[in-house]
Amino acid sequence: MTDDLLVALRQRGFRHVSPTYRALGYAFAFQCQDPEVGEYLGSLFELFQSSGQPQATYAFGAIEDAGRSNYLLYCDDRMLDNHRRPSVPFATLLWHINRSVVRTSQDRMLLHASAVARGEVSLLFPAAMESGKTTLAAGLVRAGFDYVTDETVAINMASGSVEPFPRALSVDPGSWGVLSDLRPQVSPEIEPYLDRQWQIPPLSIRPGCVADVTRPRFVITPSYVAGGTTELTPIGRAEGVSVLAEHSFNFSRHGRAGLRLLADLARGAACYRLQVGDLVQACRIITELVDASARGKPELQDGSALGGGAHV
Amino acid sequence: MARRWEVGHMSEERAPEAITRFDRPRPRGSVTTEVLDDEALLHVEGRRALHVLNPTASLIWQNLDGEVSLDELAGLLSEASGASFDTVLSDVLEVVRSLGASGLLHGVITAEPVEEQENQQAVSGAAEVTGDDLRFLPEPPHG
Repeated sequence: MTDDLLVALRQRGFRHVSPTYRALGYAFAFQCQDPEVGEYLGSLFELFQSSGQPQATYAFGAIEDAGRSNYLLYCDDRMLDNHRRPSVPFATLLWHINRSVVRTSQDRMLLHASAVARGEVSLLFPAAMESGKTTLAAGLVRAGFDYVTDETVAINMASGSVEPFPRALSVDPGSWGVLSDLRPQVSPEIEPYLDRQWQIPPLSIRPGCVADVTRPRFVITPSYVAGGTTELTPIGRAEGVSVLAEHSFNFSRHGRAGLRLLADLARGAACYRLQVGDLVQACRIITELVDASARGKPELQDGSALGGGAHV
Repeated sequence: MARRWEVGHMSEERAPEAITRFDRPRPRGSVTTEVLDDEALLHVEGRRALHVLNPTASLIWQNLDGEVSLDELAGLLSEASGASFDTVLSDVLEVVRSLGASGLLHGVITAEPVEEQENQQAVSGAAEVTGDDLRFLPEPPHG
């Protein structure tokens, strides 16, 4: 049953109707009352433009209520949000798309991790929330790596390859200082929609920076320690698998194949813990690690820690 | 739910602490093992937990085939390592009882159904991890 608010929203019309986007297993589209908001959303998802029918269509706009605007967000006929501030349903829209991508992509091994790549080699950064995954990925893309994702790594169960999920990087206010040069340039009309997070389209960091399908060769679990040292420490491959499984959305769903996949991944990878006190130094250490690996030098497997300006 | 423990021609139920040096344990059929370097990763089908065994526990685990008794296994390991038989046997029993308590061995009675053991203690030298949900995703935005 369609509710009255949705009827009212539809009656006001949608001046922006998007194409279909597909992110991993989720195909979606959106309709926006304000064409500028629609264009902005389209810029966040331009890398996912696809064809075919969407599984879900979002409707976003405002209706007048008691002389004030009420911002509404629907997914098909279901209300997702209703708020006076446009930033709230806007954030809900991005949240819902992200969650739906995870829910509809269960045929892959999904890890809560960011990732970057150089050439055909990817580096996975599995970690809990607030560990600095997105900040590290943004810093590394800024430093010349290709972008894979800032939130969900999708691994093909048959090939073991990483599929890119290059959504806009969601940067919390705590990292705005160290990424100030990446601040999104948006019009004053869009600013009210973005008071919670920056959404950084990857191509705005560097043109052509999005990775293709890659092979994971480094598993590095980061943790941000304010004021702490920046240090890279090797861990065993079994611990690497443990970290990957711990940060998997669907490890047990894949049963034996899931463990085999992660074990094979670790067999072909070098595994580390990274304590990040300084983003620039962390990016330099990782760059040196990957450079050394490309030159065929040992990847710090001797149990020593790397940091404080040391070189691989 | 009781499970059966097979010793030679006998069949009986065992609690982990009742495992003796004369038993011949074997893994549950639902356990998948992957060995990386000297460590072993164990996963029970349908469960979220992953067990990581240190090299010693891994070596013991890989020799639990339902044919070799723990007494014989301790003898082999004692001979290979040069450690005293009594010390090795004590370590083997500790590890195997821990594996049994974690629901990884065929026929061992566990405190609760294996399928419900999501938060058990890790086996000797092991860490346990969980996964398989949306808990990593942030909560929906609030006004």
